[in-house]
Amino acid sequence: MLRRKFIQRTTSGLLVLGLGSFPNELFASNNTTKLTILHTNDVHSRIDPFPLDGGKYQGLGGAAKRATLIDRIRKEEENVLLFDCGDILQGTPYFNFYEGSLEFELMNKMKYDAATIGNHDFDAGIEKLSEHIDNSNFQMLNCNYNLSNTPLKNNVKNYKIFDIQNVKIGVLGVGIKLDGLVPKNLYGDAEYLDPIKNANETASLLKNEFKCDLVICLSHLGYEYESDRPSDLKLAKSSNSIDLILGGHTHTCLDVPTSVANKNGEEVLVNQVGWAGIRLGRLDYYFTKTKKRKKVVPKSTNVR
Amino acid sequence: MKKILLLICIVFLGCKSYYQVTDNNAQFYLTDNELTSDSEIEEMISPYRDKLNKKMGEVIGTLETELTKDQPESTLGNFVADAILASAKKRYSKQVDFSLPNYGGLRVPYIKAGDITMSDMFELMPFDNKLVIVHLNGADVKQLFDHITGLGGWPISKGVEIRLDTLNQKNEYIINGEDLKLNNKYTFCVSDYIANGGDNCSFLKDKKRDDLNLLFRDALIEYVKENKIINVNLEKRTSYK
Repeated sequence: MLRRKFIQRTTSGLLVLGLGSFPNELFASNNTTKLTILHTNDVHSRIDPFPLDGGKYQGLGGAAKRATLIDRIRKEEENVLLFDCGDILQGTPYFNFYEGSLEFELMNKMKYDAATIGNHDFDAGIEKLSEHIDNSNFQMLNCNYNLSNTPLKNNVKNYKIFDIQNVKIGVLGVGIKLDGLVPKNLYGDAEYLDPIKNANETASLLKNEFKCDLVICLSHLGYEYESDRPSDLKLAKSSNSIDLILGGHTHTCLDVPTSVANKNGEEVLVNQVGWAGIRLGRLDYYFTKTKKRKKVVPKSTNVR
Repeated sequence: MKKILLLICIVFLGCKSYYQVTDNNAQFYLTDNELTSDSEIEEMISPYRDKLNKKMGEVIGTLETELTKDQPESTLGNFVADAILASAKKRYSKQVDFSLPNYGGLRVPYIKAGDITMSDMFELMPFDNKLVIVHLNGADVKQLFDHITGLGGWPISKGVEIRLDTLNQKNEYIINGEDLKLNNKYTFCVSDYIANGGDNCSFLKDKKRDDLNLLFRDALIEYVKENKIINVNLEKRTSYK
């Protein structure tokens, strides 16, 4: 299997702070909890692999192969969280003819834990999206759309907290401006609110009030723009409570996550894995029980 | 007693423990042919797929050479622009000067040479956008062209030449053999998504327009069915000076 592994940071937080240089093996396994995060974005109704037509993507993608991969990882790892960062829908005739039911059913089967809403997820209308969310076993997250006058008012949440062997993982969702991107009749009365402000407030709630050990933002803002539009990199720089942003929308294919310094100089990782389910992203986090939080700063290289 | 309780509380709170990230690493997997397909997932998909294949497998034409998506000009873009202009002209009694599909609206990176199927056209244009004719004066066209060149260039129909001189901000715009004249009137074919202000084209929202009651995708399908053999070249429709 063509599997490339990129060890991004083998340095521990302790080492970064210069407090010691214990190799990982010294952390007894009962003190360390490992969490494996898997993620997709912009799958765009690519239920089947790309056809074998000699093209660049031939044979890549496909829900049935992704499910095999996910199952294998679940057999190897105790703690797995699986996320999608939006634009589940639209792009192949599966969506034109079945309006997204199969996409959501397959995500249920693969046991996704949470997802955020992409602009194209409104393409069959907000009522249809609400039906799909009602039929799904994973939590749809968004904290910057006011959905109180829409069918999504009860089935989309700002955040969800996962308990992974007592490690608290806070997950929130954030979405892109809909006006100009989605026809008004499709998104209905969903009201777009400042994503940077709302994501940071929600993240702060998760970290400071609910004492989450890791805060993950599922984003459909897009990785980066030349203009001053809100993006994952902008959000990362402005944040003080987000540890990891998993993104979508711009179909950005990152081989390694981007390391960003937040406004306190602490590290935020930003990742995105292209589109169409060609890749599955994976991040492993190791947690050790401690009395006091320590600041984790980015390594000096490759920081945006 | 209260003091002791308080003390216990303080000690307890003081001992509140966290889980510190001590290490992390990242990797990705390619969902490739080395992986077998999950049989349960296959069973879920196959009834949907079988029904779709009956409709979508229909061959509607032949593609001589691969179409690819790129900026500022591409074969895929030229094909789409010419196809929608041809279908628009058949339905519109007056002059249509050009067509302008948006770059982001081309939803596949390439179409390989060989049979063109209905599925190819659905994947190229999955949205149910309709085509409209928008009326502009020359100054509006200049604003539009400045906008799309600022975005890296959009597909445009045969007959338009955009010569980019972004450094000096002196792009040349030629429509059907003549320099763009700011006071002339022009008509162009575009998706209702763009005419409604999509892709930051809000300046088009209040312009006069005529509906063609034709889906963008149906215009492509019609063009392929009528021409049967599709062969597209790069023609420097948009180029750097």
